[in-house]
Amino acid sequence: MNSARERIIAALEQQAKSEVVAAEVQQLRNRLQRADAHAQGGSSAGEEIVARFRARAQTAGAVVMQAHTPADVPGLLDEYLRAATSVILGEDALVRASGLGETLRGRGDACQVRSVTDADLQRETDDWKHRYASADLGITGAVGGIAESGAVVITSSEYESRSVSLLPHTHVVLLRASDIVPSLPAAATLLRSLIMERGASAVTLIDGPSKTADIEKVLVTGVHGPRTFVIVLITDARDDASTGTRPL
Amino acid sequence: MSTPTPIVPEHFKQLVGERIHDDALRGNIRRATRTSLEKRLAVISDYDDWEELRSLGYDIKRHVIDHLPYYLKKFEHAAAAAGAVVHFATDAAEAREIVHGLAVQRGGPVIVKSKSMTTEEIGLTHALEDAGIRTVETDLGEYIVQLAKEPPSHITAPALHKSRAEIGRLFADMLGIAYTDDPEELTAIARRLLREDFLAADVGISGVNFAIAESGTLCIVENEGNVRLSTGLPKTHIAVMGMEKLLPDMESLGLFLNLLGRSATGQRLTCYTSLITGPRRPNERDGPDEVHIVILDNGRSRMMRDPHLREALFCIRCGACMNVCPVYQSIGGHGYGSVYSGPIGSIITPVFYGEKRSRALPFASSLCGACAEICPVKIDIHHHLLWWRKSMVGSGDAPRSERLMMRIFLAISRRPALFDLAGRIARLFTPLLRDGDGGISVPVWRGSRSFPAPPKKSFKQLWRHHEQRS
Repeated sequence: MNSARERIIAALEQQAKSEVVAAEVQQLRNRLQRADAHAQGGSSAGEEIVARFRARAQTAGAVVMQAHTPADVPGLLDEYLRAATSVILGEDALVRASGLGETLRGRGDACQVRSVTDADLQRETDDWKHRYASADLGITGAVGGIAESGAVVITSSEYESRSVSLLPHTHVVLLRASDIVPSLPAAATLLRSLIMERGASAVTLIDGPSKTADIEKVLVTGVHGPRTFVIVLITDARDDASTGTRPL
Repeated sequence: MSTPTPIVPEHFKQLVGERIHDDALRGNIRRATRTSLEKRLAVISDYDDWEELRSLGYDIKRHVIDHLPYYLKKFEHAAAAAGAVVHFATDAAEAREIVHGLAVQRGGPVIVKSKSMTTEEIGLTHALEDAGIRTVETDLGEYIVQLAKEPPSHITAPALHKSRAEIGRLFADMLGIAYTDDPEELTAIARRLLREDFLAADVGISGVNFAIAESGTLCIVENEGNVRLSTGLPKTHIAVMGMEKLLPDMESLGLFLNLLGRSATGQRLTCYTSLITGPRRPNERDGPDEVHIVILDNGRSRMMRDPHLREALFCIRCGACMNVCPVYQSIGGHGYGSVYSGPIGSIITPVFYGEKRSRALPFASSLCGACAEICPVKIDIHHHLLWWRKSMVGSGDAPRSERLMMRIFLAISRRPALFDLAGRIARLFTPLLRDGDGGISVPVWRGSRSFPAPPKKSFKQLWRHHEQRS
């Protein structure tokens, strides 16, 4: 350990209160929980939460679509799929259940289709970043949604790269409506489980397309990340048996 | 790196003088700050008890700062367990040395850097560039001010002082492209050029908005995607954070994200919120091999010691106090001559750069208190400014003439007879100094304000008269 650490900690310990009182922490937690419940108007009816999520995601600039089952997704996204000449797919259960890979590959040479697990997208390969950057469309699954702000939660894993939702021009994310929680504090359990139990190194909340207002407060989308951000809400994900116990 | 020129009254007056009559600049600042304030109002109305959320923000920060060593050690332990390397730096020079050492070993053609006030505070980009390491600011606003060789003028909107035409000319001059003042086109040009750097860099540097003690997680918020690119694509990610950035857990993170986005830019949540916990895991597809976290003291332990400065450690750098400040709106961030501008900047700058060098700043306030009223963590900003004034005057920082005047005033006001006499003399002679506006002109205020003319009779005389009549 370096001496700077010892010096800093020693200086702080002279000033700090000696112990963290568990009751004080609990009191703050309770207040936070009350404030959050109050902020959400006490209502957590599923339909109301989904409606709020949709409205706020749209305010943040997302395109929101609604599918009944994962199998409905390719038809719903037809316009985006036809416009794309290069697509990268995540391999999470929801994306696989949607059959998007089969649909796209069925189109033959018109569209180059890759999966995040393909050899030429791995970090050991030259130009892997460039392949991501030249894709039109990246498709991933989400692990949660936050109604309060309309944000989706995505995570790094064996099946999802960080780059697939960041480097292509358009990002499409599939989200089960049942995974939407009312607020950010209410998402704490999900975040804790992703980070502390599953050990995800990168969990990201996404609220709309990449944007800036650095020039005269004029809103411009697509400054560094995707210009277009599409959320496909799946209202009845349980219809599809292949999602099973929902591994990531 | 220290502030280039000490911000003493003479220098401050010069900075203000250069800006106060610049209508174009003031127009740019007003437009930007007003937009942020209007958007903020619209989204805080989501909550009917915003005040309780602010109070809770204050109480959680106070709890963390009261127990800082506990949370610091807890964070360090969790971050290390997740595979991050944690460094401590007592001052700016140590922090620069750590980052420089890491960058030199890892090489690469360029370092991509995302916006961070803490790295501004320690002058990191300049130090790396001076050492011959090309370091690119990738936030669009920061990219603009880096091209213009200027410091950022606002915590969250670094180029808010520039008009689109100024930015268009800057891009044409510095990048050799045809002039355009279209924000869409300018943004597209920056995207194209910076993409090349993102794909080539081996080292990315970021700041940190919140550090979660329970999990060792770094939380970084942004709208553009450059933070995700800087932290996710290069092999090495170096994060620099002030040690006050800690939060206990994920629940409190939720609260602070709600406070920050709404107060800073009037967004319910910024576009991207990255939660980074250590480097890429072996089974993950991409992400850095190494994550280094540099935890910076640089005067913060002194702030913790001092009850009048401790609250300033609660600051989450939203910039709302700047947007609402009448002084900031008139002179802009550069008018303060310091890295941290606006009301909160005037409290913390003397800590980071020395009291003697920042003497003018606590006085750059009307003490109207709008800053304290808008602060999402209820820092009592204007009272802390007042305390700094008292402390600086008490330690003899006031000019000799002012001290002499105050001593004479003290001597007179303590002696009723003398006070009466002085009042009589003033009432007799001040009509000679009368200006056109019904006040009197006092040379030390240089015509910027006029002093109210004394009444014909003193309060004591009026009172005596009143008693005689009744």
